[in-house]
Amino acid sequence: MTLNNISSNETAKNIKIKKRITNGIINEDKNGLSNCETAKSCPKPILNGTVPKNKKEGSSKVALFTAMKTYVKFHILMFLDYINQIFSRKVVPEKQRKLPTQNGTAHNVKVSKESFEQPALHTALMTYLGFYILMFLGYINQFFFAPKVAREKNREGYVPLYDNFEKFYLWYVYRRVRDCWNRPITSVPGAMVTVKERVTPDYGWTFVFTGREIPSLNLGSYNYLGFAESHSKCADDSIDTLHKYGWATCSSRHELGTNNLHVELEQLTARFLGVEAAITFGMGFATNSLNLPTLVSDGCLVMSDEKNHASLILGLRLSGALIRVFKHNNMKHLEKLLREAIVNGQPKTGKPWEKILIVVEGVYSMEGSIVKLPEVIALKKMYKAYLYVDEAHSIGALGPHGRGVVDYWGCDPQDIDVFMGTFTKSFGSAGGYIAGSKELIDHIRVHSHAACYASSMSPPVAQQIITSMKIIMGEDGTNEGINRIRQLKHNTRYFRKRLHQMGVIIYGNEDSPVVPLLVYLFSKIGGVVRGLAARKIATVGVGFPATPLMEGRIRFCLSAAHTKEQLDYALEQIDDIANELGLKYSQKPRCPRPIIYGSDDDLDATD
Amino acid sequence: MFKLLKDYFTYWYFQYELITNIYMFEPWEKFLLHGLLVCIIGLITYSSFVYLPTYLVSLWKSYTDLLSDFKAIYY
Repeated sequence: MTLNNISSNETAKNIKIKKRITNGIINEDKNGLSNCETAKSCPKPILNGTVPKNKKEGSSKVALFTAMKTYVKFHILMFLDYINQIFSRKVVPEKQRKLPTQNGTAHNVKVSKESFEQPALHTALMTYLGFYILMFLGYINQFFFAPKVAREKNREGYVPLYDNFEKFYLWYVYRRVRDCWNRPITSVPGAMVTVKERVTPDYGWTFVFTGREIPSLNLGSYNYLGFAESHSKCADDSIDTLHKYGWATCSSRHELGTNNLHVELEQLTARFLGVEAAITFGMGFATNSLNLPTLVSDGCLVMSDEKNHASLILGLRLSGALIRVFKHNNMKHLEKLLREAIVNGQPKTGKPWEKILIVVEGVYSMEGSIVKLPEVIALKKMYKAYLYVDEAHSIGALGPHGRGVVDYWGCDPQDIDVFMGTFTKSFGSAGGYIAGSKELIDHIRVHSHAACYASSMSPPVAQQIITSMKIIMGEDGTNEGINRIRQLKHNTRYFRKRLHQMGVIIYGNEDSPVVPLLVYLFSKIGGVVRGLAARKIATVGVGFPATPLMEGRIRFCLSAAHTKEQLDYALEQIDDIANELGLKYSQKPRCPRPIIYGSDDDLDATD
Repeated sequence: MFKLLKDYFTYWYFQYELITNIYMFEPWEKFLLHGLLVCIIGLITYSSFVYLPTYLVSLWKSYTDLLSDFKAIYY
C-alpha cells in the first residue's frame, strides 16, 4: 500500500490517491479464495539481507535455496508473461456497431474510437532487458549495502509487516526516480502551478528544498473543467460560506452533521444526473469502498472490470461477494463470464445468485478509455443484473452537457442502477456521491458506514460543488459552463490528434481528457518527467503498481483552463523530448495534414 | 563536422543509457555495468581472434572429410 503515491496526482488540489491495481488482481477461484496475480507474478525475492527473522541462522542454506527458487520462478513467470504479451498483440479496430434501442429500432450509435496500440517486438524486448538489468543491480545492491532505513525489531515469530518485493521495489526501482513524484506545490493547481524545487544529495533517499519556486504549466491535475481557481465565483462563495458556517460540522450525517447545504447539494446532484435521489460523502475513496458492502454481500456475484480502481476493489473485497474479473472493456468476455456464472450458480451449493452487480467506470484513469455503456446496459438487461457506474473521472468531463458517461452515450439515466462519482475532479472540490432511486439512497443512508460514522462534508467544500455544478448546468445565467465543456472537448481532441501525429503511442478514447503516453521503460518515465520539469511543464508519470510492469506511461490530464497556446507550447516540448528519448514507437499511419484546433465543431453540432 | 559526430555519439550513448536503465543508476553502479559490458565484449573479441580461426579450419576439415566419405560411398 505504500506504493500508491507512485500513481498519485500529487499536484491536485484535493489529493485523492487513485491506485490502479491492474491485471485482474482480484481473480478469485471457485472456492472464493482470492489469489493475487500481481503478487504471483512477482514472488518475494528473499536475499541475504532480508531473510525473515523467524528463521534460524542454521537454515541459511535453505534460505539461499528458497531465494534461488523464487528468483528462478520469478524470471520464468516474467518470461511467460512476455510470451503471452507477444501472442496477444493486437490493435483494437474501430468498428461500426448497431445496437437495438428501447423501441426496438436499430440506429447508429456513437462509435467508440479507442486504440491500444502494442509496441514493436524489439521495443518489448528492450523493455524486458532494461528491467532485468534493473532487478540485477537491485539484488547486488541489496546484497552488499543494507540501506539505512527503519526496520522491524523484536518481532520474532511475527509475520513481517512489509512485503519483501514491495520493499525491494521501493528501494531499488522507485527510489531511483523518486524526484519525479510527490513534488510539493505552493499554488492553486489551475492551468499553471508553482512547483517547489528540491534536490537529492543521496540518490533519492532524502530531499532538500533549494528555495526556488518554479511556475509550471500544469498537465497533471484532474482539473477537467478548470474550477480549481483562487479568484472566481466558486472561491468567493466558498469564502462566504466559511464565514457563515465555519470549517466543519464536527459530526456525522446521522447525528448533528447535516445542514441545509448538504440537503441542497444532494438535491442538486440528483437533478444534475436526472435521477430521483442522491447522497453525498466527504471522501471519494470511501464512497466506493464503504458503500459497496451495503449493496452486495455473500451470495452475490460481482462482475468487475480488470482496470477498476483500487477503491472499488477494496469495497468489493470488504463486501464478501464473489468477484469475477472481465478483460478491460471486453463485452464478449463479460457476457461469457456472466453466462457461465448464471449457469453454474453459486460455487459448492449451486444455488442461484442473490444479486448480480456489474461494476464499471466511466473513464478509466490509467488507460484513458471510456466504458462502452450501451453494450453494458444491453447485457445488464439481458441477464437481469444491476449496474454500478463509477463516474469519478467522467462526471463533468464527458458529454455535451457535462453530465458524464450517460450523457456522452446518450443513454437513459434510469437504465443505470447506481451512479457513483466524485467531486474531486471536475468540480475542483472534495467528496463523492451515490445517486439512483429513492429506495436505494434510503437504504444506503441507513446502512452505510460512511454516512453513519464518517464526519460530514465541510460546508465550504459543499458550497464549491454547489456553485460549480450550477455553473455547469447553466443555472447561474451565463454560458460559462457550456463554454468550459466545449473548451475541454476541443483541447482533448486537439492534444490527442497532435500527439498521434507526432508518432507516440497514446492509449484510450479520443474524447477522454486523460491522455496516457506510453514510454514503457522506468528510465524513460524518469527522463520524460525530468525533461518536462526542466521545460516548466508539470506532469505525472505512472509506473508499476498502478500499471502492468512493462507499461510505464506519462499521464497528461487536460483541462478547460488550458489555452491553445499553452497546449502548443506543451506539444512542442513533448515533441522535442520524444525525439531526444526515442518515444516515437507508433507504427500507425500519421495524419499528414496540420491539425486545426476546434475542427470537429461541425461534426459534433448534432450532439 | 566534429560537433555533428559528437552529437551523434551523445544521442546513441543516451539511448543506450535509457534502454539499459543505466540512466537511473548511481555512479558506482554505472561503473559496474559498463565494466561488465566491456568485459563481455572484450572476451568475445578475444575469443573470436584466438579461437575462431582454428575452429573454423577444423570445421571445414571435418566437413570436407564427411563429403569425401559420402563420395566414397556413392561413387
